[in-house]
Amino acid sequence: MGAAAAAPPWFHLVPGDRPQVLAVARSALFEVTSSLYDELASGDPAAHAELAAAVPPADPSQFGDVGPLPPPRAISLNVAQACNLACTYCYADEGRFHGRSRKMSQAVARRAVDELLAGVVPGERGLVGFIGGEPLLNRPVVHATVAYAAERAARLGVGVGFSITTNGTLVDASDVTLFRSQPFAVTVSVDGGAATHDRHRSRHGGAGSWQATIANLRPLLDDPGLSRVSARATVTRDDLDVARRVADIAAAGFGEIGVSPARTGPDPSVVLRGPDWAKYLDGLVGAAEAELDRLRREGPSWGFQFSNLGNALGEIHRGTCRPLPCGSAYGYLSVDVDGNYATCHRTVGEDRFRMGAIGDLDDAARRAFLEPRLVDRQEPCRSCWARYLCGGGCHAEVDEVGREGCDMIRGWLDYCLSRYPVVRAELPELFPSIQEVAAP
Amino acid sequence: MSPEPQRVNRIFPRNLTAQASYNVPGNPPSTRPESGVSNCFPGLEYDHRNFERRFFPGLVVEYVSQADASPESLLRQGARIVDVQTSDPALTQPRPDQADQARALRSSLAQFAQQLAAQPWFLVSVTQGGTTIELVDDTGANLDGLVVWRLVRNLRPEPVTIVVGQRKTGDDDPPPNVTFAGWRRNYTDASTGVIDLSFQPGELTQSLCSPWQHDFRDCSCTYWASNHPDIVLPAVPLGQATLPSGNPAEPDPGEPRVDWLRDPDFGELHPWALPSQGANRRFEMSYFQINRQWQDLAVVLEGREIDAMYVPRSRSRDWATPFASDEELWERIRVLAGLEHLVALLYLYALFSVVDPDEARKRGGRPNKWPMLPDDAAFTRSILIEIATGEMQHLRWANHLLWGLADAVDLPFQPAVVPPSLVIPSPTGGDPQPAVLSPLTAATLQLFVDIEQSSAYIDGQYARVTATLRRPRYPKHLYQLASNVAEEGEEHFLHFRDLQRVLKPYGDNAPVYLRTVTPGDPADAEVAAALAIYRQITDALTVGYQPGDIQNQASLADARKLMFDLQARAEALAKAGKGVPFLSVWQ
Repeated sequence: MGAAAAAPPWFHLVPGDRPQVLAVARSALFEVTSSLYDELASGDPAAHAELAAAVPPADPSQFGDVGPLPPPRAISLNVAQACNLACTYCYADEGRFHGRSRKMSQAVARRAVDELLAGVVPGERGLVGFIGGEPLLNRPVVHATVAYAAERAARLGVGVGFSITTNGTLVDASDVTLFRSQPFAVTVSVDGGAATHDRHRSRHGGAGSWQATIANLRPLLDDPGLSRVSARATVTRDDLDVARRVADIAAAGFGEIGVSPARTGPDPSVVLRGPDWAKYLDGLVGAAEAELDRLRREGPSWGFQFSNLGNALGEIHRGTCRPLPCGSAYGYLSVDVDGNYATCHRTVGEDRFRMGAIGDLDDAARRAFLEPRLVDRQEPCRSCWARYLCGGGCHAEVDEVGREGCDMIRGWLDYCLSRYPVVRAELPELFPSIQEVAAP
Repeated sequence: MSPEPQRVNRIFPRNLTAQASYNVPGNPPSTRPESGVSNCFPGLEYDHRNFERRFFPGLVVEYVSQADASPESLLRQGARIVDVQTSDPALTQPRPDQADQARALRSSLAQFAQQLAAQPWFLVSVTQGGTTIELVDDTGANLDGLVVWRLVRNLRPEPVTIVVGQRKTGDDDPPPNVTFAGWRRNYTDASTGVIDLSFQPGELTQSLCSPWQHDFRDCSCTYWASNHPDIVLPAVPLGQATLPSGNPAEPDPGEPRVDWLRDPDFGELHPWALPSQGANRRFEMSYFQINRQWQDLAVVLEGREIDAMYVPRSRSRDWATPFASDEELWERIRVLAGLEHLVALLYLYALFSVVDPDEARKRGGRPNKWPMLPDDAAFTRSILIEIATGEMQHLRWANHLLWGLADAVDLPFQPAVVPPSLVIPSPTGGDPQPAVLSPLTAATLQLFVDIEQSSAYIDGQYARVTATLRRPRYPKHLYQLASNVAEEGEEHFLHFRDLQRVLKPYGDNAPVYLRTVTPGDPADAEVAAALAIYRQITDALTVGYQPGDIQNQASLADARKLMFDLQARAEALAKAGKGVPFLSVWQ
């Protein structure tokens, strides 16, 4: 950090009918009178002092380092580094992660689960994720590992939850039974309606996958049991109509739908670039407005359907403050077929992101990976007002293509910040009280 | 030191981290009645189930529960109509938008009232917002009263339609059900928070713990009714002359307080209350006495046991001559605000002239000539600060009166904080005398007693205010507020008389409890600094008394902080022989 570096912004103005100020350090949001807003905007030092007096000072070193590293609370097991689809934008190289197609053995999965649960404190919960490729290509290991982890957790007196990210084309009745029997977060890759989906999510032979995905998931959507099913859409530059995608996926029966833009992948023609980001932001805002209309119409009982909006408003409500974008290499690690740890499921197989192996978790490598990525330790994040809400962006993507679309993220956060007081006033049921979120 | 400009609050926390870290000015929400321990069921201030007794204008409803019903009255469980009151203020003085409905409801209730006597009537169903709840369970049995209460509690203060009916008891068919269209009452006034006028005195506390319950003796404001009398003034002996207020005309200056729960057999042994609950305990009635003789406990009204005809203390006030016009009332309240401000300063100046307990210990002499001096000094100072802050509170209430009046009669509101009055009005209508800041000599104390004496000075002035505010054209809570000021004046009077008794042994001439204090020179730097803070306080109060956002109390919080600063400075100056010449600012 150079001596001449400017002080990072400590507040951010959010215009609107109800002008607001975000105190960056605590993600604390204040409504202000329009007179104070104007004075703050014009740089009036007295107004700055007035705001500073009302907002408690933050500890400047609050995010100076990562502190003691916890044992991972969540792992993902790359049970199948292979896939039955050949999606054009896949970061995982059709699941193989630039190697040959392989499957994880039950022995490796068990050792990973043992190490995870050993670090979980009684009363808390570890999370075992299944990822690929398409994890259900290795169905026996998925089923056996769930049984093993549940039994092992019960014996240790700790909790365990599961997650799986699947394309849905291979889900069968035994899988549905398994998902229903556990707290299972089932994330299905669905990009929109049939035509949109099949444009990029095709089988190796080129045939579409939408029909199979929806048909296989139908029993679980109708009766999810203990599981929670959500759809995750990848938005490509050839179709930035987010609202349409969300509406089509909802029509197929999903109650929770998130979107993310294609930033990397083997086919550069579908990856968002330059002017696409502004259109993508328009798409997000359109989908959010449609979601708010839906909530006003149907009431808040079932919560947010468009999870990008629900998550953003929820985090603004709580005042989430993060120096890193995700739990990667901190509370979360990914395990490859050989039992090596990677910073996350997207960096599997790359030596730079290897964090040791089961039985030999490399804390020095974790620290070396994380510390320079803290938002206060790197530009342009350090000078950005949105740094603690954003966390700096996906490590893997930043590493591969740099930071594209920061204006989109700021625009989206600005939109959500300006909508927060309105939505909270109209639909207060969607926001937990301070008592509900306070630590017990 | 130049006073900083005071501003109204312009920053409002919205999300959870903002709310958790923001230092909210003013009183926290936990001080509001709805946050009390007494949220529901027997509690401190009131049992708020009683609100639902009058949820529907014109009707009084009793919620009969199985738990408190004898077998033969099982049939009575539910919500029974116990009274029809067509004189309900909600019907006789309805909100303009409810006037037509109130008129119709009132006439149908009047008809219904004639049928009420024969057999009991019950609530059959309630309808609001298109949803009707029949007050029976799946088997058709009547819902328990507490369940009905819970359902009624859920009604919003909006239009509601109810059906009432009789229950079939013998062979005869009951008369047809009756439907009333009305609204759920607003239990409190939206702008003032004043409890709806239909509730009668005692109605909200009537279900709290009662004296004949065994553990009443040990429950002193810890869980049961907060209006449990504790230490009280004894009844005035029969035949003794009383003031219009009900207090004795020729009181003993140190009239002792008594323990309300005292055992009559110990009355001779310990006629007055001891300073702590534990010390009094041995001389109180036993549990079994409480159970058997609760009816012998005295009725306590306005802090005094009553054993003869009770004359409401407000009588003299209510017989005073009302002011001729709104403007005269308005002006008089502004004058009274100035007087409240002045007496607060007089009392503060006197407070700082009294030695603190440490100084008192050094002054006791050897051999210790004044062994009680430290205690007496501490007592004197505590009384003075309590009354001075009481007067500051009255200054605020005077501003509240002006607020309410401004709303009611459409006068432009301006906070009335400064200047303080510079003269003390004469109780006999003669010339006012100039106000002088003086140490607490016997003569000063006598002046304080005179100022607080009821029907003289300020209290007498408030008599005309309350007599005026009693008129129907003013909101009723303003009368209550003005009455509170007058009643506290009487307490101040009694406290100052206690002080006279305590300080009498020290003599009139340069008593040992006094510091040598003369008004400081405003040019003196330290004196000037104290005066500057005093001005900042009055500025902050002037801003803080502006009506505005409910959170707009930052400047009141500032004023409070500054008051502590001023207190410390005034104390230090007084130790150096200098009094803060508050009035010099205005002279």
